Amino acid sequence: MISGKISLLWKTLSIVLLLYTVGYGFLVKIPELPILNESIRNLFFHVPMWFAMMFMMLISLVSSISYLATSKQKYDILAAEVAKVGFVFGCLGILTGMVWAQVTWGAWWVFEEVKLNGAAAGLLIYAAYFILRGSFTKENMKARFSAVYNIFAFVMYMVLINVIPRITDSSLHPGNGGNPGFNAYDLDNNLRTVFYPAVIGWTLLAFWISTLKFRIEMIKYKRIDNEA
Amino acid sequence: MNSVERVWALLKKDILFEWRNKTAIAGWLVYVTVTTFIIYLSFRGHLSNPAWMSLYWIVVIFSLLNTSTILFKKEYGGMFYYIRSLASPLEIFTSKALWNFVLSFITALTATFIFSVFFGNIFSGKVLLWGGLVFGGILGLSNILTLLSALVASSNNLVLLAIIGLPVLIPLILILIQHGQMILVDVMPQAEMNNQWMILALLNVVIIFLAIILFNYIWRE
Repeated sequence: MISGKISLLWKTLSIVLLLYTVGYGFLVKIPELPILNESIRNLFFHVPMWFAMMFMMLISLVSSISYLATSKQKYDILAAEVAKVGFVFGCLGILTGMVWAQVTWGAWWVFEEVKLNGAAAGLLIYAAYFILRGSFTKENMKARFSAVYNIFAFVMYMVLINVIPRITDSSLHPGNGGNPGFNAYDLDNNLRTVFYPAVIGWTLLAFWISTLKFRIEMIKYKRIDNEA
Repeated sequence: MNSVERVWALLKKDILFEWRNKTAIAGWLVYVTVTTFIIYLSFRGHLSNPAWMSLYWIVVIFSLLNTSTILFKKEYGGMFYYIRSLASPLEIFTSKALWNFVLSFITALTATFIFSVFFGNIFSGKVLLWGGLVFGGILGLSNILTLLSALVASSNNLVLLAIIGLPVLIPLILILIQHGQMILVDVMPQAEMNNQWMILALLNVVIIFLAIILFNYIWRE
């Protein structure tokens, strides 16, 4: 009973926060920045997508480690489903970024920009994870080997998006020049009031979608298990 | 027989297999020479320094992917249970990783030589720096590829190692290319160079640490 109420709570919270983001996000007063102008509102969509992806991949990592520790199939199924949702959010992050780039930098993609290439490479790492999963027929081998790859992939992904941008100097991304964070990014208090709820809202939505997918996959798995 | 002797015995077995049918050696020699020649023909003999660097690492990495695919091929089936009764996963991994490192290092040095023959030696005064970079890079590359080739050894798909290996290698490749270009440029301040070496060393430590831990789970059939 109590778990039902808790899940109702965070799911409602997610919807409320997202409605707030989409609603107030277009009405909030923005700072006067050249080049960016009104497109700075994309901050409430583009950046939270990446936060959601990172959180989902983190959950996937923890789930993979749990699988290796306990050999319970449900952890492997959770790892795969969360990674799939994270991947979709990563694609959305790239799409929102491309729209933003076209408006502010004049091009859909800039090959010299390290963060863009890092983001695309990160998606490739997880696409390889799904391909690896598809290549195994035996369930326990698939689960074990993809858990091993997931752990390795997550570490390399963190290197890719956190270490590499810090060691290259120039970047078109606002607030960069060695620091991939957005602290120097002129986030004034008005933007913060929508930004933080947006991150929470989008992450909760991603988690909600992955729990639904997880439940579907568990039903499928149990049904095959019972028939076998 | 203690651990070191076991590792050496496994290593000797691999070297002997290799010496008898020479698949990996022929592989890297032909691969490196032919790809370099194709690059020479397409670029009409002239490469700028950044292009030299990037193409070098691409040729080396694809060659390593080829040699790493067959690393664990023989270790499945009956051989698997036999080897498993002889040595612990750590020893097996150490011997395979060492063997892969030796093969890969020879490949990288050969590629350096062949690239210098075709496109000129761009590291005239900095051989030690280049040697150190190749050593650090090949250490990381060979360890990752040893781990991944253990993952894909049981599948029938020949390109699976390339599919899962290349995205995971991208951060290391980026660091190596950037580091190599910093070596070529003379005006780099020493602090920046030390930074780069430290990043490479730390990444190698992380890779080796992860590979050793994760290999236990792969090997536990």
